Amino acid sequence: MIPRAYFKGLKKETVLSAIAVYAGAGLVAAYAITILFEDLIFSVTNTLPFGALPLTDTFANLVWSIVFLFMAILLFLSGYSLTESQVVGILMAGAIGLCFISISLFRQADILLGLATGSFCIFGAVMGFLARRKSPVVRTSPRVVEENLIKICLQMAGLIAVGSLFTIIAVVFIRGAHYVSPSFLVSGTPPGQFQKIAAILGGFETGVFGVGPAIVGSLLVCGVCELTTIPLGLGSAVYLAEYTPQNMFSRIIHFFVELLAGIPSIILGIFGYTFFYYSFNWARQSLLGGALCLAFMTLPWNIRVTEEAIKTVSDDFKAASYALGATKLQTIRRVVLEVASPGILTGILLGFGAAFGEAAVVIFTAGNAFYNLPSQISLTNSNMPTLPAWIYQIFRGETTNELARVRAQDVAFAGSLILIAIFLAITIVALLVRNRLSKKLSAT
Amino acid sequence: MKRRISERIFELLLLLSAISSIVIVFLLIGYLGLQGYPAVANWLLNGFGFLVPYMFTTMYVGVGAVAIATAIGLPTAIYLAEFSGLRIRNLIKPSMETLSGIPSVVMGVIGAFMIAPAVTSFFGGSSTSGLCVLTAWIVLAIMSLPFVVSISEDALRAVPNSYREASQGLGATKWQTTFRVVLPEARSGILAAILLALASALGETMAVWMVIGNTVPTISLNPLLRADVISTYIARYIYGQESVGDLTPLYGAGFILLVMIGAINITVALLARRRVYAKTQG
Repeated sequence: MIPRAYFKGLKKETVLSAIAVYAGAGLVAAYAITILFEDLIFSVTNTLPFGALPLTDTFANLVWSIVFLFMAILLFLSGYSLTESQVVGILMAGAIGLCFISISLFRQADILLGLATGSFCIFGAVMGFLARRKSPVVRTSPRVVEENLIKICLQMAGLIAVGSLFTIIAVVFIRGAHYVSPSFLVSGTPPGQFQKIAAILGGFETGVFGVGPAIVGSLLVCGVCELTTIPLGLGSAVYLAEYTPQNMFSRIIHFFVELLAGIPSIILGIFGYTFFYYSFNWARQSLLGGALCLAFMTLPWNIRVTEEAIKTVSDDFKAASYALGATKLQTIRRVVLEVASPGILTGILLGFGAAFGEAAVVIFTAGNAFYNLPSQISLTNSNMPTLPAWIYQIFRGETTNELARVRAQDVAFAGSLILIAIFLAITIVALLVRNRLSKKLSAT
Repeated sequence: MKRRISERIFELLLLLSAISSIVIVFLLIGYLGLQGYPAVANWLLNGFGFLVPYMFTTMYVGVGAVAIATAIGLPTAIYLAEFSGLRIRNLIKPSMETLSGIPSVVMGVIGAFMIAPAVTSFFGGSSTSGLCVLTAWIVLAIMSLPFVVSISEDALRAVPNSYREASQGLGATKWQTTFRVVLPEARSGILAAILLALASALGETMAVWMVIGNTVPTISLNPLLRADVISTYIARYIYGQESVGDLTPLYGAGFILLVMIGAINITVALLARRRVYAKTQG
């Protein structure tokens, strides 16, 4: 696995220490992966969802596996620095070795793994120390040691940041994936197992376990929302970028845009919940009301992105257009917006993605219908089902029945999986659009 | 002539749409103020009463979450801005953007079904479900991490390279340069990042609603207790309400929340102005 040349020219002790630490890292990584996928392995062999439930200790396992994965990565790093005979490697290997021995004492279940890895690491540390003692010429200064230690700490922080994203996606996928099927995506007539779960869950009627209506409802609400945001956002951005100089007025508008961006979603929720009901006599939760409240939320984003895109258009284009005798309106329409279109379109799509996942506003203003789309969709009167609200309903539908509770959790994860998938798809489409359009524009 | 009129109309339309955000802000704040005025006036005269624990937990949850997010996010930002190569940067930056886009309801599901049981199994929790302030901290910290990372990285990158070169020319190591020169220089930008993250954490509803346990809070520093913050208080009452009741305290609470967030945002704006001022002077 490790090429021979890698160890060429190194002392015997160095090689031994590095191999010992790498072995420890491998052990830990293998163990972490096993306990991470214990649930999945069990589910494949035991045909969930109607086998016995393996979920008694999964969460603790998950956390432990993350801890162990981190330690494995640390060990790989220290093995690497041991081959360079750096003090960092010795210190880290020793510390992790002690850590494992104490973990094994604390968690009786993993005593073998802990003792094995711990002794590997400590052996590696001792060997590394001997190797350094034997060659007093290669002394690293304390400053370099400090530098390397700090760099490793910073890398760990970055790893945690990235790791949290991948953990979230992995967990949602692992727990939600076996409930996702084509019929779950489209229909209101789900496969038999969902009806049984529905029966267990009690509160839910049979035949409601599909996210199809919720997806359609979300798309409708977000679509109507975009219909109001796009013209307003485009208009504001063009006005700010092209018609006003940097003066008091434009600064005031910018200030209010920032203010609007800072208004929390619950405020929009309580506003939409009562304002349209009392003022216009709409239903408490309606398609248009929800879309308007969402529009209030996405408007600042649209203005900001569009303005940025317009500002990147170089003045040469505009000057050329004016020189040909075009009016300001013609210049803006034919030149500025055309050149800025990749940026604008990308921004609009990303805003759409954010609106699609927004829950707090939508639940209070657009609706929390759970079962199906209303038979006649009216703008002001129909309580729409939406995907975030659907997930929340499942979440609330928890019962004391242990079996049903776990099922409900998995179904909620399945809904989350769909939501994340849609969000990622929109993001990817947005980035593709940007690349495609900007290539086309630069080609002509 | 005809063309000039159409240009005028167009400009007027643009002006109207530019004003729309001002109108919306006034509509929202005005409506909230008008509806919540009796409650707020009552609180101002007679003390905040039942709302005090809510305000306390709101700050407690927000500050704790942002502290965790800073502890992880600031080193990440330093690493991105000062130490990392292009390849690692190209991994971390997009992941942070994706993380900021994960819908809050998904974060709530993760928090309630994964983090809460983990909290229970590690700390015992006050209840068997693990829904408590600590869980809310962790969930909110993950949600505000991208904020902290991206804004403080921008602040660090804004420090001119000549400063770094001068410091390293004097024989300082990279870390000494970062710690003694770059960080103090980027201080106000980093503070702005932390405050902005705090403002958005205070207003976060959905994820907190799902993990904090929804119980009338007490003033306590114990993070293993169930609690409620202002936004989840409003959400809980609207969601549970079937008939039309007295919503005045909810509007009042919303108004107070808005004031808290507004105060933070204004502080950030002032910080930014002072920074620009100092730059032009120095």
